[in-house]
Formats: sequence, structure tokens, C-alpha cells
Amino acid sequence: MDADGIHGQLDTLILATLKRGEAHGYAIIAALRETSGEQLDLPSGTVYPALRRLERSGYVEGKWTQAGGRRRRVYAITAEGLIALAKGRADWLALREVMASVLGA
Amino acid sequence: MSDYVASVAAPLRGPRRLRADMVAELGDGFEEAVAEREAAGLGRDRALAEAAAEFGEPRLVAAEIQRELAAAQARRTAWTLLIALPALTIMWDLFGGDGEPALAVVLLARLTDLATASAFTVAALVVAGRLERRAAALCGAAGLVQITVALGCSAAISAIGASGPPGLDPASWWWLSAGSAVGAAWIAVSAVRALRVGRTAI
Repeated sequence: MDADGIHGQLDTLILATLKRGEAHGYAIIAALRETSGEQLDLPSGTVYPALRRLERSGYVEGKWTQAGGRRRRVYAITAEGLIALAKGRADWLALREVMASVLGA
Repeated sequence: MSDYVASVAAPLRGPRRLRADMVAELGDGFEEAVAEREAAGLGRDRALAEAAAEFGEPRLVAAEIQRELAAAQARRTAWTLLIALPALTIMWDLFGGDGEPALAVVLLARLTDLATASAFTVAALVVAGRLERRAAALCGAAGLVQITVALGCSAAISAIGASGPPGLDPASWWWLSAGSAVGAAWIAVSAVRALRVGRTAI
């Protein structure tokens, strides 16, 4: 799936990834690649501003850490983020149902 | 800093510390992508080129980062307005003379109040998260209009000479003048910054 097709869903995908545990930007990118079976063709650089947007909305919390000589900003999902994820998932399932009905008609 | 990260960073405008923080985070991620490829046996140049292709067009990434910088600048300027405007209004009220002011003075004072209320409303909406689209440009414009109207009206009131003798001792007058000047400069600088960041198109 290309970037245009996924753009609106990126926040939900990031939140779903962070629900499994806290992670830094590149680990999130790698997890998205892996869990999508390499089907997600996303400009990885856009994940970083998306994380800041989610942080501004209160859905994730980020903090700088130092591990193995490498500085990383690690993110964790918040309670508000879990609610937003549930809503994002419900919206997506509803859209999928509508698409399936219309395309299958 | 790699050429890729430098080309993302070049067009960015906004709060310096946040900008540096976001560029550093992107740079760390980019270096990790390069290191992953080098560990897989690629040469440095090839690893850099592949990582750049994975991260996407620098312009596209910069535009997304700029959106966050503009949001941060909008909130910063909005807080400046929320703090400075009431303080300035109180200080300017203390300057007022005793006695019944002329109609022209009342009208000029009301015009200043209107500009202040408008700027305060825009700032409150931004801080409350109710105004996001073009928030930085709006905050900047509202702040500049307010300070221009307020200073213009103050000058006009002084020129009319109708404000009457201020019931203030010289020390209080000096402190109020200095406080007003600092407040007005603070609003003007923050508003210009917000306008500049809000008008940055990538």
C-alpha cells in the first residue's frame, strides 16, 4: 500500500504499534514494516513528525534516552492514546464494511 | 549531519529548541537506518542513498515537521497574548487621568479594547485547541493588529491631550511606562515570529 493510501491511517497504525510496548521512531518504522508483511511503502521520515503530533494531542509521551552509545527518543502510549486507538480501529472497521458492501454490490 | 538531514532541516522555521530536537531525532533515526544497511554489507554511499530513499523526499518530511513547528509557535504566541494583554490593559488603565474623558478619547479607548478582545479570543481558541488551521499566522496577525491599534490610539490620545494629568507619582509613572514598553515589545516580537513561521511554505 502506498503513502497516499495510508496517510490518514498513520496515527492509528503508530498507536497500535505502541500498544505492544514503548519504542523509538526507527523501531516503530521497523515494526510497521514487519507487521504489514513489507506491504507498507511509507516515507519513514514522516513517522517522526507524526509522533510529535500524537504527543501534542496527548496520545503518546516521548522522552530522550541513552542506550549503547545511541541517543533515542522513546515513546509510550497514554490512556488517551488507547481511547484514540480504539476509535481509530472502530472507524476503520466501519469504513471497511461500507467499502465491502459497496464494492460487493 | 548527513546531506539528507541537512536538506530536511534547511527550510524549517520555528522555535529553535524544538526545531533542533526534531532534527536530532530524525538524524538519529536516519543514522540507524544507514547503520542497519552497513551492517548488512553495503558501502557507506549506497547505505546513505538507500536510507534517504526509505525516509522519503526531504521536502515532504520537512513540510510535516514544519506543521508541528508552526503549531508550537502558535501556542507560544497565544500564551504570550494571554499573559501580556491583560497585564497591558491594567497598566494602560492606570495611566488614565481623573475626570470625564472626551468622546474621542472614549472611542479610541474602545477601539483598543476591541482589538485586545479579538486578539485574546484568537489566543484562547488556540490554547484550547479549538483553532488549529493557520493558527500561527492568525495569532501573529491578531497580536500585530492589537499592538498597532493600541499604540496608535495611545499616540492619538496623547496628541489630543485630553487624558488629563495622571494621578501618578514620577516613580510609578516610570515603572508603568517601562512595563508597557516591555509588554508591547514582547507581544510584537512574538507576533512577528508567529507570522513568519505561519507563512513558511514548504
